[in-house]
Amino acid sequence: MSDTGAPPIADLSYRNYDGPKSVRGPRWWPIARNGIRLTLRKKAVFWALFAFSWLPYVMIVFQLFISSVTENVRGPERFIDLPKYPEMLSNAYGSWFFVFFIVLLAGAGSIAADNRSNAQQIYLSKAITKRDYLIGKWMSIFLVMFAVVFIPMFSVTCYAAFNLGLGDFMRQYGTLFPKIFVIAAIPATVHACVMLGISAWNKAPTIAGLIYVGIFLAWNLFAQIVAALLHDSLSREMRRTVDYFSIQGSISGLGQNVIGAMPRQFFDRHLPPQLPAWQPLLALAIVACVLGLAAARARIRAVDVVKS
Amino acid sequence: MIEIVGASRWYGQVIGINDVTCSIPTGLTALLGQNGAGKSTLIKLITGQLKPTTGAVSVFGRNPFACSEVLQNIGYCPETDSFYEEMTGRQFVSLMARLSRVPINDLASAVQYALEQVQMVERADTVIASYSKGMRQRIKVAQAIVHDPKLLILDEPLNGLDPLGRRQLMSLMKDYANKGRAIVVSSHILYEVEQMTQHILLLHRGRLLAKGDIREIRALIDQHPHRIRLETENARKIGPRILELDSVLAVQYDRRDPRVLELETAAPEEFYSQLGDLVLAADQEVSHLSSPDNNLESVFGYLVQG
Repeated sequence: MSDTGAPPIADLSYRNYDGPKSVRGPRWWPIARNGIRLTLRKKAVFWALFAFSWLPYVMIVFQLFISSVTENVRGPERFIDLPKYPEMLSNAYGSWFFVFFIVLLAGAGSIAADNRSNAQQIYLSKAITKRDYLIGKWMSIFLVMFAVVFIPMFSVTCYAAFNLGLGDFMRQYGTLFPKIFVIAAIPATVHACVMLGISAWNKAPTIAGLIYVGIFLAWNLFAQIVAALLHDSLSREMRRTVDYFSIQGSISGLGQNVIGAMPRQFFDRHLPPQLPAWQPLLALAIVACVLGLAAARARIRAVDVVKS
Repeated sequence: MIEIVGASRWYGQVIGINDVTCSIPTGLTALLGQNGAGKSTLIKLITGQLKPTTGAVSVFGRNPFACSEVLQNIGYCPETDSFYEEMTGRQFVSLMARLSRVPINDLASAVQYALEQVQMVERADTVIASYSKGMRQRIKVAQAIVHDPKLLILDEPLNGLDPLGRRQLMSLMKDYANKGRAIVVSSHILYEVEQMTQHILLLHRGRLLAKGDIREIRALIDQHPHRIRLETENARKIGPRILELDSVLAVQYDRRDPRVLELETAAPEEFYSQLGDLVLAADQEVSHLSSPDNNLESVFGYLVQG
């Protein structure tokens, strides 16, 4: 019989963590970090959507490449009227399709998944307040969306700067770099607020996502129909503003105002139309954000309270 | 450690708890009550998740409602499952430790200790979706103790645990209480509670019906006739002998099952001590012995009527 030796002694007495309990950094950060981690965990879908969201920027690279080639072949007089870089950027910025899907991926389940699994109860029994919880959830959508919009825009602008000549580019479009921070924050902020509000009132992430898709598309369509119906009775600027009076419209319109250019594509020989008025679009974006956050705040609680 | 003064909580027209006044010291205290008695409401008041409609709740001398400093020293294990299925047990406990302000440098060791305590180290790195009910229960307890709270609140923690798991968790709770911490455990099973502690708070329909030592409540129960159900080879053979005992007040046979009899006694302890000799003398095998009165419903019945 072989001697296997004495089994290890299991110390089952309670040894608990007794160190300090304060960490630097905001209390909402663990919640935001966890939310981002959960979004990035949906690897295939997330990275595929992120890759597709680069398509409009790939088109810019292509246009810049064509621009440099035609310049070499024919000199400064090009055979087509190429759009200016801010117009190209404005065009790419308005491409919302894949970005919107990333919003759904990052935000639909944000609070809805917690509602479904009663996780709010356990989160709010920890040393965080309702505000920390809300900020954490908001940040988990905002930071993902900001990165998704900012990274391709910044990368392509850097490429454009080198392609068009750094000195010339900085003289003409130098202010675009700080502007990119602002315009990347616009869709991230608006989507995070509205999506959070919808997610908070649902228990199923899919339902929350579908509701946002419905609101988003219906509103866009409604604004365009109203603008078309009032075509003859409104001024050109007003008509354009009504056309932009939706969630995506306000995001695009505000972004175009910050960039200072309307979208124009490669073979588009028409002059870019007038920018929409930014004041009503900003007011709409603020109202949407406030409503979204207020809806989320009203719904966040650790327990379901039975109403009389 | 916990002071509750005249606390009531209404959910619209539904009452959660009604004018409860009590204090909970260090050590293990059981919150006993049937489903809907108000146990979870009281726990939510203590953990600052609800505000009392009237009255006051204070934990460590402060109002716990939305107070991070108080919540930092409370460990709470809710009755319902409260986690993301796609996270592993370790990730979940780590997240909860972070929310409880455990420094990042100590995080791994604190999580490891907590997982060891609930015997979940081996399964800690698999996703929660694959866990059994008992494992989920253990992970919930691990997240409650990971930051070494001064006050541990466990809502029906033994639900779903196998006998070994129950014993381990009870032992953990006793060790924790012996360290001078306060533990509040809610349960609706009298037998379970008796194994854990003698100090109880008894809630019934939102009211605090009794508090103190469970033995005193037992004594109160024993003042009333106590029913005991016996299953033997032949109930009619042992019945007359049982009726001869001074402690027995009545014997009743079961018409449908000739092996079963039910007796009524005013002194259950005395009866139990005499039962062994009686069974030997009658040469009858007792295959089953139970007391229909030995449950929570009976306790409430006695206390409400008595």
